[in-house]
Amino acid sequence: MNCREARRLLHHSLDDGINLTQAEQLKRHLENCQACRQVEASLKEITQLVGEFAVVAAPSNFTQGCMQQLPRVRLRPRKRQAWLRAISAAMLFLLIASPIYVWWTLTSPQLVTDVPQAIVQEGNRFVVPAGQVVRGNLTVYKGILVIHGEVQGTIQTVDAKVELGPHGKHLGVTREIEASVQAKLALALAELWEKLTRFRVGGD
Amino acid sequence: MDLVDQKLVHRAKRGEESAFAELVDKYKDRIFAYLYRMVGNREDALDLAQETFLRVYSNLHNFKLGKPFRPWLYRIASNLAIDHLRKRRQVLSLDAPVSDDKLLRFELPDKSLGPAEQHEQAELRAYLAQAIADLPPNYRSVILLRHGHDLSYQEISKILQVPVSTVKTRLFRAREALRLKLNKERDLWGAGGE
Ligand SMILES: [Zn+2]
Repeated sequence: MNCREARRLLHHSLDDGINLTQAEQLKRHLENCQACRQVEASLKEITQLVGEFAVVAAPSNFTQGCMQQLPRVRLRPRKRQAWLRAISAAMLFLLIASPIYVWWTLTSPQLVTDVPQAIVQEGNRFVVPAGQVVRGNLTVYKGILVIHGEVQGTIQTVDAKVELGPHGKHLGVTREIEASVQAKLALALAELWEKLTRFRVGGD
Repeated sequence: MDLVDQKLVHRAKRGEESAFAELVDKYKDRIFAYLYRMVGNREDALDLAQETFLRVYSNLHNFKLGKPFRPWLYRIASNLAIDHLRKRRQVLSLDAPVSDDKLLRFELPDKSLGPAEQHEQAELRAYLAQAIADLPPNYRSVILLRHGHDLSYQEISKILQVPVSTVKTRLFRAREALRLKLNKERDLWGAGGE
């Protein structure tokens, strides 16, 4: 073994260690080499002194000082944070969305009913299919109500028409409402209310 | 894996401040010492040590239980130290071109104290401290973490975000540089006829 190899092993023995054979060879080299013995001694000295540098007493009030700073950074468990984020996102969404929603309901065809599942929408046409019976009242806004089945309650129209199919029946009365701002707003609110309550039932 | 650390971190994550205080108490001297050797003065080292623990606290929710705590702690401290050195170099270079190795100056020991042998040992320590300060920060952190704080190649590689092979190379070169420097100092003392 030459000095170069010996010094490589000296460094390795300080870190991930060397195997028994290598240790034996190194030992033999060191016995015969004054220069490498000095390297070994220096390295030991260095690592030992660096070790002594590793602890310097922090001031006695250090921990207290840190703890007083904690409110500045506040611990937030991730779960609660995610939950809060979801809530605030939902509120933000409602804030932005509600005027858009009202505007949207005022400019597009609408139909308010207690039995939305009985009616099929095709563009601006609301169709009561053949064989379907609607017992409650209907309000139609900006569209055409086409009855192939049967409507038993009152039909209110706001800027809307009612078409009776060849086998369609309407047993109640049809009332036409003037498209005032109040009527539109009431309609939008009714629609919103219907959506919200349906959502709540669906969510449970 | 240090189970005491794991328990303390677990309690601190649940919001128990006393558990976090125990963690600070346990590591403050080591983190302070590491930062002191990295940046070279007490005031900056204290500020950085406090900032280290505050960052640990505010990032506890990101820390996965079961992972070793110590390397994570040192990683935060190392990043703060390197950042600090970078900023300081920028500030200084505006005034005058000072090379990085001239920035850290450790005081030499008081020569009036103690018998001759203690004196020589103290002087050796002072020279080594200065020799470490003269290493580039990348090499300084490696040798401090390995021999001062007893972290493994793998842990240091994670702390400094460099491959294990880079850690090995830097460690080898840092130790050789320190050794040659100390030898040179010793020869100078010998020539001085002490
Ligand atoms: Zn040799």
